[in-house]
Amino acid sequence: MLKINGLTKSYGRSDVKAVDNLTLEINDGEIFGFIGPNGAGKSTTIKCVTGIIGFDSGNIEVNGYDVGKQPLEAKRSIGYVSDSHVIYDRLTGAEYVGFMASVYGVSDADGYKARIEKYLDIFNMRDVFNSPIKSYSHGMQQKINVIGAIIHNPKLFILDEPMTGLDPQSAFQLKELMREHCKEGGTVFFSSHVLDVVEKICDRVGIIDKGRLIAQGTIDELRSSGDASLESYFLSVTQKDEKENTVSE
Amino acid sequence: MKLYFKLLKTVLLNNFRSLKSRFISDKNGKDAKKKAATVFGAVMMILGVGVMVFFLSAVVYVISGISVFDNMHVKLLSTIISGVQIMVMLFGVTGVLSNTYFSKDNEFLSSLPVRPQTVFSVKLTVIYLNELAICTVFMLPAIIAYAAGCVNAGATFPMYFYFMIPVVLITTPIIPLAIVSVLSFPLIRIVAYFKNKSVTTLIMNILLFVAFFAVYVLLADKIGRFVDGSVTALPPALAKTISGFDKAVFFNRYFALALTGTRFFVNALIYIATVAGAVGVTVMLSALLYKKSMTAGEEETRKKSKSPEGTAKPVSGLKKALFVREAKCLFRNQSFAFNSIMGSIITPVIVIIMNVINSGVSALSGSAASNFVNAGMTLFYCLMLLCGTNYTAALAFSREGGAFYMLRYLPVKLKDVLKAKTALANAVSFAGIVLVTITGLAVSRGDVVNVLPTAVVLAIYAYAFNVLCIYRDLKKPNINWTSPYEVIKRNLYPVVPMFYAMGLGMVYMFAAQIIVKYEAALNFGAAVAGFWTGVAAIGAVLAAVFTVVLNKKAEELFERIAI
Repeated sequence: MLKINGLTKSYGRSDVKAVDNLTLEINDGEIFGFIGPNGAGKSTTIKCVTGIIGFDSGNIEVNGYDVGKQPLEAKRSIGYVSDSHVIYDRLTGAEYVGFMASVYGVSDADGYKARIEKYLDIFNMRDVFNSPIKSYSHGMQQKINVIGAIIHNPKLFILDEPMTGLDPQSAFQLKELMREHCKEGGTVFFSSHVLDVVEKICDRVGIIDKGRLIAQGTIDELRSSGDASLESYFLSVTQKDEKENTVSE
Repeated sequence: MKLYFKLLKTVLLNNFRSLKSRFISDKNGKDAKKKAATVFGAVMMILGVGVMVFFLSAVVYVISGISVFDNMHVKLLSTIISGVQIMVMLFGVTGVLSNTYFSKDNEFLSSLPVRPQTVFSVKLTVIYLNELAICTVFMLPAIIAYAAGCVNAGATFPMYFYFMIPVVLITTPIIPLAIVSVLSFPLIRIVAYFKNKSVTTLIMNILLFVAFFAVYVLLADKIGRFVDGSVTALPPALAKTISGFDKAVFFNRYFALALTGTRFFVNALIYIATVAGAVGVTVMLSALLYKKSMTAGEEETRKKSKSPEGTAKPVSGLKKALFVREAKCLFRNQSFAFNSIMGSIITPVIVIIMNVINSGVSALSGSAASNFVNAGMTLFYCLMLLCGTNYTAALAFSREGGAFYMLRYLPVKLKDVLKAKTALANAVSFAGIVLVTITGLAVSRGDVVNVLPTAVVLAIYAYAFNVLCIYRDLKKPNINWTSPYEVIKRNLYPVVPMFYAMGLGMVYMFAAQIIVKYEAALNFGAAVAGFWTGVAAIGAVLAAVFTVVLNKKAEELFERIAI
């Protein structure tokens, strides 16, 4: 579903590589967690995959489409939940989701109404759906963001820090939604700092630090190195990387 | 095309509701005082704009009547259209840059399966609609005055001239916006090459503004000389300028010929083809360049810090820290920075122009009376453009945007925040006053008697208006903006104090002229001294009143701001 090969990205004329020769493959029906310290390159990778920013070298393929050469086809296969909230906050939730459906070409014939009903129930948003997004709480804005991103039933669902601001019930529902999406043949690629969530729901995990992918595998594969939890493994590999860099400098 | 309209509808709906919420309180009917203040502000603004439109139309009416005798009226029409187009370019630069390259929705729109040129076209359409509204306010009366002046002088226009006026209004902003858009592609790429993007963008922006302003001044200077001079025939300098513009801006010449009855279809077709060509070239270039330019403009370079301790030294003292924060936040956003320092850049240029124009036409040139009249005019322009228009103060809280919440949780007193905001606004104003004083002394060949009191008076009024502007912004801030364009251009609220300043400036300018008129009957030296003392005293009273009101109401207004 998602193939990243040798992705390298620097900002402006900086000598620092935000993403450094990253190669990654995510299969159909898989939930892939992307973790790393702050500034490791998670959001940059996601922005490259979603076509928000360009990249210096390498290539990205989404659902068989090259992001660089066929950006529109690739983007139609993606549903993206960014780490910032809905920009057009003077629209009502209904207007925003309607706009997203129009952009992705979803009509009633594609089951638009049924999908709306389903997500409003899942996220308990029925009462506020016709109110301006500006009046929503932080968590509600995140939920409408998720509904807008998944309304076209994307093959690849990408979420950048999706659990931020969600109450426990909504966080649980989002996890269920991610699982269900994968069961239906979709793929989920998300970044998070909440390692417990990653540990519980991901089929595979990638750890990125200083732009480089330093580990990847199933939770069990990562734990096989002797660490009791994903957290301890994460801390050991990122600190080891830090020490190696200090020595080499 | 369907996506273009869908996206345009969404953006316009969001913008319209944002604008509406600023004028119509959510608590309908509950806050009568607030509504009365809004109505008063709107009336003042309509009056101010009305005065400007009236004077513009009067000048156009007089010139068009004379131009008929010289058989220059067709060329004059094309020059009027060109003049408005230069104005669109002048003020469109900031709009295009902030709305297309530095807007918060760029990232969201980039993730959607929408072509970059569609996004660019939508953003440009939003700017176009804004410019169209402004153009209509100024141009419609000017075109009517032009037609009335010409007809009154014996010219005849075909009936379709009047039906074509909406076409003139609709098409006028298109070509200048296309030019600015095309210029923006290389401009942003050049900016991206430099590491300090905000400063580079600001410099580029100022250079473009000064270039367009110079062309505009060329036209205004000739008209200024004409208005003060003969009214029986176009002076050669003005006739030459009109002919020059008519010749250079060929598409407007063809349009003016079509409108006034010469080979309508052929000439109108050439104009329409040029407009369509401009749109086509812009859309075509945007398909090739917009995405890369936008990304290049937005990407912030992360530099390897050699000594992190050295680069982030804490500023000693709370007040200094707050001031430094204000200054950095302002000057690292080129849209806010540009509009904040614009007054300080334009005003010295205007001082030079007004002195040059006056010294050329006044019989009293160089005399004490002439210098005093010049000082009165300088005071008028400076009060309006330097004191009344300071976006540093007028958007003191609005420019915080999403970061406004910081002011709520930081352990600082609002009084200190206000001091920092006032100090920065004063620093920008005082820099402008220093420039005005230096240029004033230079062009008046050392007229210390008038230039220095002007500087002192301007400093008092600048402080007073900065306090007033901060108070007004605190009263009604717009922190929920998507693009700086929304709070700068699509927002008439910060402009209102300019009309107050304009009113005061007019009174002072006429007072100076009355003193000169009755020079013989008065002790001129004492009258001039009395004038400056009176103007300074009024300013001091205003400054004191505004300061008291701000200090008294600030806490309440600050707490009222909804995040």
